[in-house]
Amino acid sequence: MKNLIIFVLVVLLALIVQFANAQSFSIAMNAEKTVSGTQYGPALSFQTKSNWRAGAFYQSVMNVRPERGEIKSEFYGISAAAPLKKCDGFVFYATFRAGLSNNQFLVLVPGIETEIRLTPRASVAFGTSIRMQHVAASGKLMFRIFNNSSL
Amino acid sequence: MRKRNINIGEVNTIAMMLMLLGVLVAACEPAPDLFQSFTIKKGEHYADVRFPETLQQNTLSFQAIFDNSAQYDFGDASLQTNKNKLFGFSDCNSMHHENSARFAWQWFNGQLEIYAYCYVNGGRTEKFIGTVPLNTPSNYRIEVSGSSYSFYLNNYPPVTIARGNVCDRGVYYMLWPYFGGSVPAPHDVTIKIKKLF
Repeated sequence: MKNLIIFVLVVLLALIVQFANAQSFSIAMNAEKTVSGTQYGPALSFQTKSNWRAGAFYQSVMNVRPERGEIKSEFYGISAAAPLKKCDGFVFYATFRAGLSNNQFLVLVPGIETEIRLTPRASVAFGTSIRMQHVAASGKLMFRIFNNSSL
Repeated sequence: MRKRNINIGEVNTIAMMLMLLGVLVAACEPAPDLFQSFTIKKGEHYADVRFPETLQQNTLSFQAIFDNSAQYDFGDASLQTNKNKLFGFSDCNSMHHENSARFAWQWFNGQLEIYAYCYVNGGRTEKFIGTVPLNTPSNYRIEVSGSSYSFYLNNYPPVTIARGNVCDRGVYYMLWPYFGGSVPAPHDVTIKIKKLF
């Protein structure tokens, strides 16, 4: 419950900032394959006119360990992405996430990501990052809910 | 010479066969050895330099293999019972001499003894867990809960040590192999560790 409240607060903050500055506001579904399992979850972000992104995310996985049974692993926090290169429908980003794993362990995750614009409102993104000192791969389906031009 | 036209169906069939061949070849690839090797050189305490790493879940689980280099004789019982550190972590935002949990080891009475080794609010606590054979993987696990550390070694009964007054959220940095005590390694000592997730 506490996690949910924190998540909602971060989302509200993101919304406020969006109305103040952002070019667009996106909701995404994330899947990230890490060395300890594939985590899934939602993400929210706003994007400036120069393609900088900031937002919040939550992802989790239910692992089964023979000696310990079912264990839920969560990771939530804030994210940022800096555009490195843009060309016809592709944007390459350097990404950074910071958050708490299992509501206890501070985790910093650098990475890179490629976003492919499918339509003006939908895009997919593929990325790779370092989680638990191992390479992780991620995929994301993003939808722009609204942007300044449509407000 | 008769020229033969290749149609799309044939191209697809060849492509499928090549993909199948690729899958078969990939399936024959040997599994990688995921053990990381740590060598503590003679006269040193630490193994190779590593990037900082932090714990990211409530459990640190790993396998470790000691080889014959784990045998040593200082000829002095007080030095022989110095605990060498295997693997563990510092507790929430603490330095490891304040709050930490590690497995430790020593060669004593002709066998490799494994201990739970903790600092709790600056005080050191050691508890014997069991012995492990050389050149054979053994399973190690530390579980951290709100009030205690639980140490698991192979099929030995778990050992529990009370946790200090530390925060809940923060950085738990990993602590890698260290020889000593005060006395450095008498010869090269090699330990293999494989983290389990």
